[in-house]
Formats: sequence, structure tokens, C-alpha cells
Amino acid sequence: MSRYLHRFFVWSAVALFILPIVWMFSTAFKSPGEIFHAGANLIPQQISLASFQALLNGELPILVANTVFIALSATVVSLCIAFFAAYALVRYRFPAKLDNLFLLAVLVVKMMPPIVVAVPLYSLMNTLGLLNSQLGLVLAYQVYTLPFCIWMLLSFIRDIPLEIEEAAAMDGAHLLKRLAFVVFPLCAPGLVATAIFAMILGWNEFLFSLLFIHTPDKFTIPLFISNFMTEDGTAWGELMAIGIVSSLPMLALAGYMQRYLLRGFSMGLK
Amino acid sequence: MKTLEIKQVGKAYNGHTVIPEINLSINDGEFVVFVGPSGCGKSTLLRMIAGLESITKGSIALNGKTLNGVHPSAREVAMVFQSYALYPHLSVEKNMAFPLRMAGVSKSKTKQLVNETAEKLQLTPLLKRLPGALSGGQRQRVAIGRAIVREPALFLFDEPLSNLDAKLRSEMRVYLKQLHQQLKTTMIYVTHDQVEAMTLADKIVVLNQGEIAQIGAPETLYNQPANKFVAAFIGSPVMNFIPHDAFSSLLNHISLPSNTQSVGLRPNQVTVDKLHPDCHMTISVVEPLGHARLYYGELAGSQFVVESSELYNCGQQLPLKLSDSTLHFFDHNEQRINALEVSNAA
Repeated sequence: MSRYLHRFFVWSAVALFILPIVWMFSTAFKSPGEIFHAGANLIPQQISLASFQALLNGELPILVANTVFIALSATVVSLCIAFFAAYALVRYRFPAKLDNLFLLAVLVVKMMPPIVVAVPLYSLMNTLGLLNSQLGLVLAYQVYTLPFCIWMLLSFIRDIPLEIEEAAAMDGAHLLKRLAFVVFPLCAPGLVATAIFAMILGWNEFLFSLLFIHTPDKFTIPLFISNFMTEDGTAWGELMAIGIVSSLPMLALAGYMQRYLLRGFSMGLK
Repeated sequence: MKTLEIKQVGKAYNGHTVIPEINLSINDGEFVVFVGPSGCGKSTLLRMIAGLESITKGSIALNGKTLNGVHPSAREVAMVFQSYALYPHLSVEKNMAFPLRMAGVSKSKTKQLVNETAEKLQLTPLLKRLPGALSGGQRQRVAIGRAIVREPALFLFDEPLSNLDAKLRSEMRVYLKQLHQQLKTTMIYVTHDQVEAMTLADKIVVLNQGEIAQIGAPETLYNQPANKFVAAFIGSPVMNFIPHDAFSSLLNHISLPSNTQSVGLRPNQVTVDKLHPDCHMTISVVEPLGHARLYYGELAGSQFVVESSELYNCGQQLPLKLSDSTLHFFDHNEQRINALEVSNAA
């Protein structure tokens, strides 16, 4: 009996998570007429690519390129800074526990509601002339991606035994060589896992792009998605189609990097 | 020629002194073992020589060149770690080539040196494997290979055999000894295992609470321990100690040197004599060793161990001839009373 109950709960949970995704696919492939047809039919009566065609006829390729560039740049910048920061925080002793204080401050920034930092950031971007620029957005995203990357990489670097680095030092490797030939390859699975999560953060970010980007040719996908919900109504077909289009690259990336991702998780959990 | 000169070297962490002051010279080609209980400062001293720990005071010089402040990579010193510290992402070949790669040696020369070293250490069939696919003994040999490939002036070993099982440990001891005879390079080896120290060393440095308790050849330390600490630390089973008054009550015809506080007897140097015993010990525990037996009991109020090939059982009286046994005398400061004083007393 308990086995059936267990299965029931498991399948209920699976259904709960899968239903919105199935609904998204179903709606995206329905014709505009069928979407507003009465009754909740999961399987479209006739497969229609009208919603996708509408998207492709618009600015979608440019938007995808913008989003990829911004998310990727933000991730690369964050990883580069976080790698050195996390290494220093793990390996060096700071006076008066300044390292702990720094990590706490970083965490506080990460936990703040985005709107709290948005206004000062807007003012800063305006002063630096970085409003409505992709570079400005990459820098703004560091507010979220950098603390996340530092905290995540801390545990991966802590897992590297100090003796291995000492052995490398005895073998003639100075700090930069140790980082390049020993530390970096050893925490590569952790770096990949961190990069994927940072990419997802950058890919999905909405508020900062809404505030800092003004011209449609520089829009990111989340900003573009919001255009489908207007006062006149919601374009459900296009909305669901872009939902699929925007989810697929991240799913593909996570799938491709799954081996590293799992190794990264097992490293970080040690 | 002196290879390593350690002068007035001390180490303190946040005002807490770990090593007050050490002076030590190590000659070219010697196999020196630092031995002592946990926390005696032997690994700290080794790490100071390696450059992995800073020196609070004093100086260390290798072949006349002062090492203070010199980065570990520039010391001409190689080290084998307790955990082997192999690079897990690199193959055996690349692990061994790593120091040469860091030194900028050409690829062809590196390949030649790695192959030669692998041949010497019987690692050739394992060159393409990752460290994770090797046994403990093989990993240890790779760690040694990585150390010897660049021909350093000094080898440091930090308890390298402690992660191996007993059989492999004894095999590796012989292996290390042969390696030293082959390379003739100065080696410093840290261990807490006195058997390892005795079997490997040309010279043993016994450390206690950050200070040198005695330096000498293994036989010297065993037969003439400078103090009670060394006497108790070197030798297995541990030396028996009987307070002087209790000893006198057992053997009133033997006159002890005037300042004797305790008398030491090694378990394998106590004579069992059923014809003319001086005293008897009631056996409480028997441990068969194969070639002999260890008899545990109490003698004159002190725990006492005897190693003998005579066959006795638990509860029986073991007849002992202490006057024929090798005796070591220690004064109030737990220092050895030398042979001259002993003969004068007699």
C-alpha cells in the first residue's frame, strides 16, 4: 500500500512540474484560433508553426545574439574575478577576519531585492555614460553573478588539498603557474557548474535590462517577452513559442555539460 | 662536506613557541631521519627546510647558500608528501614531467629523463595511467619519481609510508634504502615510527617538544640512549624502568651509581635464568611473536615486559637474572649516567 502511495506522490510531483512545460509546448504549436477555443485540450488538433513564424519574422535572431553576448560576457567576467577572489579567500589569512566580513557583505548584496540596488546603479551608469549599452548591462549583472560565483567557487577551491599546491610549489611552480596548471584544471568541473548557473542568471535577468536598455535593437529576450503582454491583450502563441526558444539553449548547454555539472555538484557537496 | 646547516632555527606561531632553537648539520649523502612523537616539531622543521613554513629565527643553508626567504621552487629541494600529493588530473608521465616542465626543460629532454626515471622505479607500464588508477605503493613510487627526476640537492620525505599497509611499508623501506644507495643524495625523512627510523637512517635525530633529544647512529641510540625519553622512544617493546630503590631491594648486591634515579632494561636484554634467578615475575599476559614470546607482568611495583624464547604460561613465575641483563642508569634529570660513572660505582 505504502509503495503505491509513494508512487502516487512521485508521479503527482512529476506532473506538477511537467504540466506548465507541456502546456507551453501545446500552446506554441496551436493555431491562433485554437488557442482561444473553449476547453483545455493539451494536444493541438492541428500542428501550427504560425507562432514561431511570427517570431522569426521579427527581431528574434538579434535578440538571441544580444542575450547570448550579455549573459556570456557577464559569466566570463564574473568567473575571472570570482576565481581569483575565491582562491585568495581560501588560501590567505586576512587580519581581523576581514575575509568573513567580505563574504558576508557579498552575500548581503546578493540577497538584496533587485530594486534596492537598481536606483543607485542607474545613477552610476548614467554618470559613466553606460546607460543603454551592453557593456553597462554586463557590469550591472555582476551585482548578482559575481557574489554567486564567489560563493560557489569557494567550496570547489577548498576541496583542493593544500598539499597538492605545496607539491607544485616544490616542483618549481610560482603562484600563477600553480593557478594555471593545478588549481584551474582541478576545479574545472566546479567552474563549469558555476558558469552554467551564472549564464542562467544572466539569461533570465529582466529588471536591469528593463531599466538600463532603451532601444529595441539592444533588447534581451526577457525584455522582448514582456512586449507580448500589452494593455490590448496577450499574444499567447508567440509568448509560448519564445518560452521554448529561450529555454532550449540553456537546456542544451546544461545537457552538453552534464558530465561536468554532476562532477561539479559532487565536488561542491564534499 | 656539509650539505645542510641549520643554525639556531626557531619557530613560533602567534607567540606560541613550537621549536625553541635547533642546531644541526647534515653531511653530503647522509640519510637522516627525524623521529619523535606527534607534535614534537619534526614536520615543522622539515617544512621549514622545504620553505613551506617561514622561519621565526635562525638560518638554514644548503651547500653554503642561505635559504631564508628563498621560495620553495628555487631551493633545489624535492619533497615527497604523506598523501603523495600527485596531480590527479595528470597521467603518471605528466606528473613526473611536471617539475621539468616548470623548469623549462625541452620536451625531448623531459621525455628522456621521465623514461629513465620510470625505468629505474619500474613505472614504465604505468606511465599513461592517472593516479586514481594506481595502488598506494605505485602512487608512492610515482611521488618519488617526481622528486628524483630533476636531480635535486636534497630530498625531503614527510612520513611517506604511513598510508601503506604493514607489508607494503616494509617493502618500500627496503626500496627507499636501495634508492638512497643508488642515488647517494642527501635525504631527510620524517617519521613517528621508530622501526622506520632504525631501519632507514644513517643518522637519527630524536626530537622532543621542539628540541633535539639526541643525534646518533641507530645502534648508538639503541645501546646508549642519552636520556630516558630516547630510551623509551627507541626500541620495541618499550624499555622497562624500575625506580632505583625498588631495584636495590631486588638486587642488594649490585651497587648503583650514587645519583641513579631509575634503571632501564630492554625487554629483549633481560635474562631468563631458571637455575640462578635474582627474582620472579608473575606472568599476567603472554604475547607469542613466533620466534619468541612477550611476557607482561609486574616487578617491584612497576609494569615489566620480558622477551624470551623460553616457554611459560600465564600465571606462572618467570625467573629473571637481572644482574646478567644489560642495565641503563638514569639520574634525577632523566639523563644517562655514563659508563665511567657506572664502573666507578661498581
